[in-house]
Amino acid sequence: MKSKHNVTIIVVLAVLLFSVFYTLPSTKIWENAFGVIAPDEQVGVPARLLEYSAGEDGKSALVKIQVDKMAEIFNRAKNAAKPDDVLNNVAEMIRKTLVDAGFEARVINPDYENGNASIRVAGKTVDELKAGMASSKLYARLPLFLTSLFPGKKITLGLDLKGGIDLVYQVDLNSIQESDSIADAVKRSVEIIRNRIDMYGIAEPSIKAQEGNRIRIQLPGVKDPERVKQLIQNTAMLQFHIVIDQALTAAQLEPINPTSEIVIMKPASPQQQAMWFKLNKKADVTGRDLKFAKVAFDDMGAPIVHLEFNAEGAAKFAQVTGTHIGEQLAIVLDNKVHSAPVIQSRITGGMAQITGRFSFEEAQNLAIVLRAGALPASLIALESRVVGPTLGQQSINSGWSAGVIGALLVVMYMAVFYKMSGVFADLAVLFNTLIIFAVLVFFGGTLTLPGIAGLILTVGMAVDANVIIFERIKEEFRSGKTVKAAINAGFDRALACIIDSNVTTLLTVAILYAFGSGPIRGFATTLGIGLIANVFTAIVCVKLALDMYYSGPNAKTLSI
Amino acid sequence: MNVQIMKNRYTFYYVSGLMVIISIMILFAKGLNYGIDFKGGSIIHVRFDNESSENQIREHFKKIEKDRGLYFTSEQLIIQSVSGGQGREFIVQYPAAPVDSAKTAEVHDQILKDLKAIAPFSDEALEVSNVGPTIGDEMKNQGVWAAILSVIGILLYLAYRFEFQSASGTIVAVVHDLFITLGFISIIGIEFDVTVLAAILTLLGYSVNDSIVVLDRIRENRKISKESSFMVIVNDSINQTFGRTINTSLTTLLALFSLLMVGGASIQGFASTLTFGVIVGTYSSIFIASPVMFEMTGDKQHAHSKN
Repeated sequence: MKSKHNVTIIVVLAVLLFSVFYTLPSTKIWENAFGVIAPDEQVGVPARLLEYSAGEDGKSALVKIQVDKMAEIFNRAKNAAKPDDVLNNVAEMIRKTLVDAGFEARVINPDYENGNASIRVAGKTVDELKAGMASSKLYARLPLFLTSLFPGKKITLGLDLKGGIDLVYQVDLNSIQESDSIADAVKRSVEIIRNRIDMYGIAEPSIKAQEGNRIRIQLPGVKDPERVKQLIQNTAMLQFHIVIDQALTAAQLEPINPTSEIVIMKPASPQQQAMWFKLNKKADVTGRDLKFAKVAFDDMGAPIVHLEFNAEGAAKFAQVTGTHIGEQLAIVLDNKVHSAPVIQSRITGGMAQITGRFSFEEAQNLAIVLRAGALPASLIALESRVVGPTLGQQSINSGWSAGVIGALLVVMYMAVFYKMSGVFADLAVLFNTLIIFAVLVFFGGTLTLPGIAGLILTVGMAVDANVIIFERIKEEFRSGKTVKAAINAGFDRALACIIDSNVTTLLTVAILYAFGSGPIRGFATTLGIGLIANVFTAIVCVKLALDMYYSGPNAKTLSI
Repeated sequence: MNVQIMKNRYTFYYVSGLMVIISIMILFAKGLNYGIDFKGGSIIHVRFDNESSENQIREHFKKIEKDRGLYFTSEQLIIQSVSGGQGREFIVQYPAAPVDSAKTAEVHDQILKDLKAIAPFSDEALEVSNVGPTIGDEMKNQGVWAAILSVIGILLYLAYRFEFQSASGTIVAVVHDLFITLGFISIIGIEFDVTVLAAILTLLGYSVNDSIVVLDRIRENRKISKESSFMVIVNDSINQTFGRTINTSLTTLLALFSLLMVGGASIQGFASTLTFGVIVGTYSSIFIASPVMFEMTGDKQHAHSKN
């Protein structure tokens, strides 16, 4: 009998250790100890990798971050980010934290080759900057070897909690060129979208082709979702056409012949009017001839996109500009005229610029999509869900308060109704919750808002098993059994009933998991894990607790 | 405690039957208020920089409609103010385009851009969902299948674990809960989205739990009881398990109650569906499941004959 207990104690302790081990890195305690900065918020930046210095102007202080030395730390994160992105993200996060703390901070001298950048804080001394950094959660305060003992994984938050994008597109079969196979077009679209997203720098993208020529894109934690959406959606078909005529309505440009076409130029703001262009149908140069595209600035400081053509493109460009001096050359993007500058002279050297009409972000997006290449087909958005980061945080907050209040109510109810035994059941429920978190982290499951609801629901449902057992024990005790016998009988008799009831709920949860997507899967996951863990916590753990509690001098009366 | 449930069982049949019929009638007359998950459409959850109102937002859309031309009219908008949003936070819903095309995404983006130009808002606190008609139809199909599979799955499991009569009694109770809860959702006008569907499926599984507790007790009492009347055995079993049936439901209701109160707007439909469902489920497992099982078995002298 005693040795049987020993085995159970070891098992329970092992599960407890596992749960703490996998849950701890996701907690606030951990964050305070080790800091939170990293592109995917997985690990902290150690203080020893930060260099402080006074600004050469005597009116500022600098902190320099050295990213290549952190590579090893960042690589421990599941999806190691590229060094450039790490640098950008780390620098930006430090800057933002300092700004939030009331500093006037700017990122300066990013050196991508050597992987370092500095942040300048105006009007502060080095000591003040140090104090500012220390009060933030930015860097590790405990030795790093401690963190390396723990799993580098943190709980994955769903798009609805973390913010981000979830898009489902269908490749528009009508827009595929005849020479192209559908499967190939889908495959290439996935590759090009991946390229664009990689160039933009997003930590954990998931881009997958799905049945029915669909592409599903999930980008958690994206800070500016609308912009990224634009980045993906643009077909990015760039073409240069010679302008034949332009007018305020399409009708004025009629008739067209087989060698010409009419294309709209959308107004920049709703107040302005659209323009229509009659163009030479044949494109003189296209995006396929591009070698490189990047953002630059014109003399007025406005953002432009600088294009560089390959040899073939350069030759074509020289030819068309040479023969059409004084005419307009329309820059057509995705079948809309972007602008139509007048050709001043023959352009050799294969360089061109797209100017005007965009913000810095738009120019940057355009440069990226041009570099990554045009999509082989246009995309039909079947479903798109975009969640800004603060709304997600709101959901976490309300979910957290609901969880705490719900748990408190249930815990109090059990303690009042079933006294000491109720307290054991309460501990079991807390243990159950801990196990759910640990298993989620271990298997890389995602916590969503419905998932939190599932968690709270589990708290209410998990004690059910103990209610059934305790009622049974009461009955057995009343019928004249000893404390020990009543406990044993209570657990034995209730077992089948508890398993039956958990199986039916688990069954519907499994169906939900199979049919649902995203958030609902999160619900099915937490509830499912909770129901399975419940059999362990409510039966094994509570039984152990009662056995031990009533083995000594308490064995005469039942506190139930 | 000894409540005469079995003697009064016809009263419960009438009450439940009436409730189910009324629910079905409501469902036919009013239908379900499908969310965009199932019917397609767009939802914009937005926090404006300045205070706004339903009328003002409608005016904004009228202006966009005039400037650009939209596939819906501003009358079709459903605008809700978010509680606790200080008059700046709103949920705006507009219908889906009749067919999915490459143009629709552009329309959605343009609407946002124009709206932002008229009434600025922060992208940080913005949630936009656009669901096209294709996905909506698929989800509806899947939802129906999931519900059917759940009922069949539960039936098969119960048939395997219990004898036919018990399984039937439970399924009658589960279907009873399903219809009445759907009627509740319909009459209250809860937006039927995927979380509400999840609540209903969870309910199907959970509603069986309490019935199982009673059925399990009946099974046991048939073996050990010296009582010859099966009706008395059933009635005793219900009474013996009454306390735990109420307690298990109460603990779940406590958790749901906090979710309903502070869980946030997007989880309200889920929480209220489950709360109502758990109450109905508790009622049916006491007053419907076992009595129906009894009707199917009959009050013969075979209390000891079956295991």
